Amino acid sequence: MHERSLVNALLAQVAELARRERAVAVRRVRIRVGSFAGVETELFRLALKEARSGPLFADTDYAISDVPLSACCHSCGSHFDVSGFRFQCNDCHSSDVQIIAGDAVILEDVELALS
Amino acid sequence: MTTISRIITVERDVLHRSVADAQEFRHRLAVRGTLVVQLISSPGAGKTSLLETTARHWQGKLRMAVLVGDIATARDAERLASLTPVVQLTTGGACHLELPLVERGFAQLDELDLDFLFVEDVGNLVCPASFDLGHHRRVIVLSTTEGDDKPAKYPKAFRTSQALVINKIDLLPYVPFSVESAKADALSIQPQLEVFRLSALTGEGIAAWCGFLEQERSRLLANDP
Repeated sequence: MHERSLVNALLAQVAELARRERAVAVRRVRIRVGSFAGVETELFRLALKEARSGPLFADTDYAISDVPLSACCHSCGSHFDVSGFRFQCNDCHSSDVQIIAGDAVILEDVELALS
Repeated sequence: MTTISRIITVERDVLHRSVADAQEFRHRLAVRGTLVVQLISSPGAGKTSLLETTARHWQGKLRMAVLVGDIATARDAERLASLTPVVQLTTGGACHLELPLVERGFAQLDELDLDFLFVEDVGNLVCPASFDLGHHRRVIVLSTTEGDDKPAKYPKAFRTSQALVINKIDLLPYVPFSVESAKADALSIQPQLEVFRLSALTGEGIAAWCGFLEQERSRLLANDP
């Protein structure tokens, strides 16, 4: 259940931002979870709910969106969604491809209440 | 009274800090001439046995040390202690190692001049794949008793590895495991995987595996002094 580790890292970063801006509350946190991030979205939500995050987070809305795994092909340059974990270009079938999105948990933005 | 709010754009990987720290560790060890190899596998695939056999192969020739992660107990470290310097990392329930624990463990080996540092992660093909431990190479160990369907089931672990060790090949006559099918599935997920078939128990295939590591270390020394 490493979702907890990710949630701790996330909340620490948001709390630091909130302190820096002297915010009185964190209203909304937007997060993108990649389908290849190794994260179960439901467990991630649960870990957010269970985290001891303090009063700043009392009414925080966590907006989580799922992002598909996508890659670009080094041979022909096309961009494509990776399906069935087959890392092969849809157009030219090269396997020289690089992941461009969907393999991480991204903190998009944070809405803070300042007064 | 209206409330003032502000939206701050971040757009960053939640783990960016640990990735930056891992980068620093990787560089520090490269400068010392130490190749850091992370080993991941299911429980019981033979990571510790592979390290025992590797240590015997290099005895008196190359210097290695091991950081071994487990949820509880120091049994793996006790097994390795007569062969190689080893530090047990106990995660206290966590399903994977993270860099701070690796760095604390390495502090105990800091005096040693090492050619190789192995970091044996907790036996688990899911969580360890998401964490950067400051390794130069990640190696996944798959044993013939686990079934050849593992690459397709745990794609992230295979995609993020540079080498695949198929262990326990001495048992191939007794288990329904197709090396070809496991290899084909693994290569469709990560075409750059170097694949080794070996038996940590009998020693078959160990020379090729150790040769690969020695070559990877030479590459490290050539690229990053």
